[in-house]
Amino acid sequence: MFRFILRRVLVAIPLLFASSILTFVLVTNIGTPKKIEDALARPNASQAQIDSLRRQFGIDKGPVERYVDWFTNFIKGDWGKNYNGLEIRPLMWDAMQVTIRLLIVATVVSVLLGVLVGVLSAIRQYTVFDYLMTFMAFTFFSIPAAVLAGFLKEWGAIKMNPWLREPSMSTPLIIMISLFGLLCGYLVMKSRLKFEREKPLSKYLIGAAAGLGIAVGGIFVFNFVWGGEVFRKGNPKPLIPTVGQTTPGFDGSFIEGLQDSFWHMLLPSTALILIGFAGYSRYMRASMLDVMSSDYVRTARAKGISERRVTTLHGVRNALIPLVTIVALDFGALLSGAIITETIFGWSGMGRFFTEALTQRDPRSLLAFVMITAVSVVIFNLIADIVYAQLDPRIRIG
Amino acid sequence: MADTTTLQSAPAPDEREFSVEARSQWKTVVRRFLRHRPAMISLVVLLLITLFVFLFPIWWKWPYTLRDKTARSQPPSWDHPMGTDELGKDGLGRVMRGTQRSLEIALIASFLITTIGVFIGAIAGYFRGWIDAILMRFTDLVLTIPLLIIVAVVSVGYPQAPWYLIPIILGMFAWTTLARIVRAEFLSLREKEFVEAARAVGARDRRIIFKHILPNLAGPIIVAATLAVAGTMITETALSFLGLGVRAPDVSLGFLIQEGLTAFKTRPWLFWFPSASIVVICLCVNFIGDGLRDAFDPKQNRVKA
Repeated sequence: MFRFILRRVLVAIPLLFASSILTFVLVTNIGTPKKIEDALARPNASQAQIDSLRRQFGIDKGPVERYVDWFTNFIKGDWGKNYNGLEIRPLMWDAMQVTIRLLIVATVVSVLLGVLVGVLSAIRQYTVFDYLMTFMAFTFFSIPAAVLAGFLKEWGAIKMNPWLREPSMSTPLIIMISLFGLLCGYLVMKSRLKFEREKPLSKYLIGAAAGLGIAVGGIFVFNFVWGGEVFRKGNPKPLIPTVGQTTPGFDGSFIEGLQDSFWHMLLPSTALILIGFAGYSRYMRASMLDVMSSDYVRTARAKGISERRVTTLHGVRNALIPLVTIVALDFGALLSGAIITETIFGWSGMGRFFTEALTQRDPRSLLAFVMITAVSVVIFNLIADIVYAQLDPRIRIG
Repeated sequence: MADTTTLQSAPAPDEREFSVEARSQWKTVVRRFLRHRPAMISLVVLLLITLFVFLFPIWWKWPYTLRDKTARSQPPSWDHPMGTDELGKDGLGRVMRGTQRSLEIALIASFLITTIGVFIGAIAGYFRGWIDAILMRFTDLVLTIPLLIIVAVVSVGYPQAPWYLIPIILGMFAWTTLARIVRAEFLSLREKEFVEAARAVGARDRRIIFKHILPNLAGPIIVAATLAVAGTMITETALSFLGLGVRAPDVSLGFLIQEGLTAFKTRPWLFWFPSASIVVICLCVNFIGDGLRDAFDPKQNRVKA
């Protein structure tokens, strides 16, 4: 195992080195920084000013010299100054902390949700639940992050907040929710009963009644707890915020700070969770189906092990292994989603850092940003490789 | 009387036994695909949408650049079924034009992704050795930077670029996954007996790659190409969101969504219609890809218990 890790690390180092060259080549082609362009557009721009600006952006030398300069400084931890003359490293550090928090929450929740739904879809293949989840996954797969985040911002917060302050439900809505509960309960019972021999009407009725009960209970709880004074009292600001990752100038206890972060994170992380969940549940379903039709699962069943033990101990455990790689490989896509979502919700994380660097065409910020993403992608893949080898010893030999 | 004729025209049992035609692989695939209901519905919907957005603008009274000064910021009405923006440009005209552009971008990019991915994967997998090592390390290198970021950084250098540069840039960097799939398949197929037989009768490398091995990969390649269409449309939206998509006066769906987001409160219809369009198209494409995957997958019968 140690040799395996060592080999992987030794592969990763030249890869990162090559990646730094690629990053540099890409960033040298971004054109003149916006500041220099603005200066050139001014009628009284002197050559000396332009030259000093070029020096400030570090684009006054030959490419090779610039690369060596940047790379050695980058390794040493001196990432230079951005277009505003601010040190990039502390800026990047702050941005990363904001984004990483979002990414961790989104990944953990979407993986948990995806695994749960994927396993259930696989063991209840071709039931109503399976079709419903498949359709949901495809839908979220097909929604661009900008659309989902924009939708959530408008309907989950801006339209939602006044209603949360003065919540009320019309009678037709209550009837509709009750009918929906009835239908859900019926469908759940129906898919549960699919493989059973006896299908008495009473079981369907029990399911429908349970669904109705949940819906009515929900409305009841809503009207008496949520609809009461709980959330409105002493809370002048909107409940679900739409801008920023924390309330600016927030001053409160630790618990209140946690609550504040929670409400700020709710919608951006929901957007990322839904997109991530779509992919993970599909992978998990496929992987689980594969495992459940394998020979060792048949052997386990033949030995008389209960179906529950077979699915959990033999099935899910092995089906989880390929997911490790998927989650690591998905990091890039997740980061891209986070950039969009953060921009829509006005977070000052990596998303803002990147969009600002792009609009300013600021070479040093872009170099730092792209390099950091490359480093994190490589590290994630490394971790995935090692975890995979730990879980599946066959890999280590290859 | 009618009964007797039908009885007579029916083939005798033994005759029918020998007239059963063997199904070729492609026929099986087409049959399975035709029976995949979500995929077939999606295919029909997608074709209808495509025909509509390419043909209807010929008759539609509002071209996508025309400003109707009498109707600014109008919500949807009979005259403007998708409303108008703050300059009086017609929503439907713009959504149709944007869908055209997005479809064009997605198709070109998907074509490039497939071509490059298959080419690199096939060469790496077939020749192995140092060619494989170089190509795969290059693939790893491109994969170190997330697609959206790499594409955004490249396109920011071409602020006046024509629209067709966007799919070219997307194609240049998004082929990596397909190349890996194709390479893995080639590595296993090149050891098979039929390749050895082809080599024994003196077939050249090029012939073996294209005539003997590649047809076996039609399934995964077609599926990946289909899914790349949806993936590219979504990436294009993200790119437009960062302000790096097509340039005005040209429009794409991503461009329209970005425009709609800026004035969500006052003109929500400018967000809803392009969003709905892209979601429906991507959903259809994904379902078609799923149907194709099922149709090509020989293991399918086994899993379906």
